[in-house]
Amino acid sequence: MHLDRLKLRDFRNFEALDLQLEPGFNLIVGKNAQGKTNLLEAIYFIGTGKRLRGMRDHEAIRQGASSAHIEVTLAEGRTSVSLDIFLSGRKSASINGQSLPKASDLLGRVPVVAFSASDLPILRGEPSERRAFLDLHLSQIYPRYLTQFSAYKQALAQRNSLLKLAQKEPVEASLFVPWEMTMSVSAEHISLHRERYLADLKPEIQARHAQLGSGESITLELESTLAGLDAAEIADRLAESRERDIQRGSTSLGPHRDEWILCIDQKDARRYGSQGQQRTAVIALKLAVFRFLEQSLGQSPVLLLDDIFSDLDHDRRQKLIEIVAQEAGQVVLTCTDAAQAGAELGSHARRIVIEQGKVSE
Amino acid sequence: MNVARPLAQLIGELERLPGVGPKSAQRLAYHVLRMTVEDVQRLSDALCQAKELLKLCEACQNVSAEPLCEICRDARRDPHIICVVSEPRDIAALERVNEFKGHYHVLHGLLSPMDGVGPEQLKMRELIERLRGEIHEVILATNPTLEGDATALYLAKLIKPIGIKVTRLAHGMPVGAELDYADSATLMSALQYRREM
Ligand SMILES: [Zn+2]
Repeated sequence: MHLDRLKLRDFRNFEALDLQLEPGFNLIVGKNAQGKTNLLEAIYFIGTGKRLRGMRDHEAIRQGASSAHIEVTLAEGRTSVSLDIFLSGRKSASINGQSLPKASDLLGRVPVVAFSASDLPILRGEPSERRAFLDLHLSQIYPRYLTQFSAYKQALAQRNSLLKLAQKEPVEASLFVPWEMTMSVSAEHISLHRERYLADLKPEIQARHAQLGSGESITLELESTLAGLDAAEIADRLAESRERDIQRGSTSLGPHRDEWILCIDQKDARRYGSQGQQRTAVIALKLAVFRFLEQSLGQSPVLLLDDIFSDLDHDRRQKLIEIVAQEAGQVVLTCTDAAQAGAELGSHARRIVIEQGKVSE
Repeated sequence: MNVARPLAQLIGELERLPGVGPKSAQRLAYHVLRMTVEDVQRLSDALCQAKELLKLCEACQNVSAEPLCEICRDARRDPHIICVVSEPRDIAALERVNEFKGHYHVLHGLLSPMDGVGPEQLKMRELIERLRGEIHEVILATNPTLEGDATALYLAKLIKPIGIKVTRLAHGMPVGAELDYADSATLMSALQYRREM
């Protein structure tokens, strides 16, 4: 899969942009704060509905404008996909001019995987960041995952409200049952997918890690409060935990409490491991995600590389460039200095120079 | 903005209506000013009379000008089947299909602890009260949303021990679809193929 064209209107610092993209390598060069990352941000946003680098949704809109418009044309079938973001935070998506019921229906239409220098929180940050990482990539592969996930979150919020109410007044048990039923059906689905996904990534990440020149072993483990339980058993657990949950005022078990850990040589990478080890592990993880997405969709996702070369030592950089050059389909990468991308990428790439929100090739 | 006080008041009242933002409130208010005195009087009478004359039907809780609504008074309808809906507008949708010939019950909402809606905020006690009569079947026709399903499930657990057959509209309806927007064919098959809970 590749993008033919990227059009922006009032997105970040771009008033208007119409950019032709190469099926292979696209190297975006520019000094800091000129807007080169914003181009990646736009592609990532339309692919995932999420922001790349802590950008708030409304910050997507150029100052003084009332909405931002992102549009990409897929080379296959000349499909045009667009996303409009409004100041209110509302988003609306359309395909070939037909608007979709929900902006999240776009997920999976423009498969992307992004590597950025700020990826480290996947290993070191809060469990919620690790869950968000799993959920994003699972929703790109299985549209139904997102449906189950939203149903779960909504039912969870309803149950939590009941728990808080029960701290003040008696609440009959039968009022909990309907929400817990939805929660347990969705929870089984979510856990199963998360577990299977981590298992699928395991051999892949191991191979990638070795390819990047690291001898250590890597494993991925899901730590779930509901491991191996089916929906009926989960419903029982929820019923049993009601008393305790009322006291704490929130639901103590379920996928929203899942954690997954990456171990380097059997050691928990959240706590142990040097910055360099963690960085290499994250890149191996992302490469594994990329490969698995490619296999599941039967087409290569767009690979976004945001200024990651400056962080890597020479050897790792060379190896990553080799892997990318050999395996990736369409790549859009940013650099402050074209030389960093190495001769391999540099010579094949189409070079796009960004200065103050404008393209000068 | 400097607006005469009565005008500001009118805009303020209109703005409190659902779906009316500041801009449309202003447009409506200026429109009222351009209307003839007679037309304005008619509008204000209609508002007051609707509020004064319309009550909830004593049996089914639908909006009605009489103590018992037209449907509850209609002797040709089967009083032994009750179809439970969330809003009065759902009755209109089901009536358009012309398939259902029983009685209705309007809950006026759905269970949603987040919004502070529990059984007491809904017309559930009134429904259970009606079930003391000779009722053969209760059809739960709340929308197939999370809250609609939860409300149906809660009611089913409440009603089944009484020994009354409880059914739910068949999921011919797409999940998340509202009765109000469902097309007639979908609604008709949802009614015909309702399943026992
Ligand atoms: Zn009535």
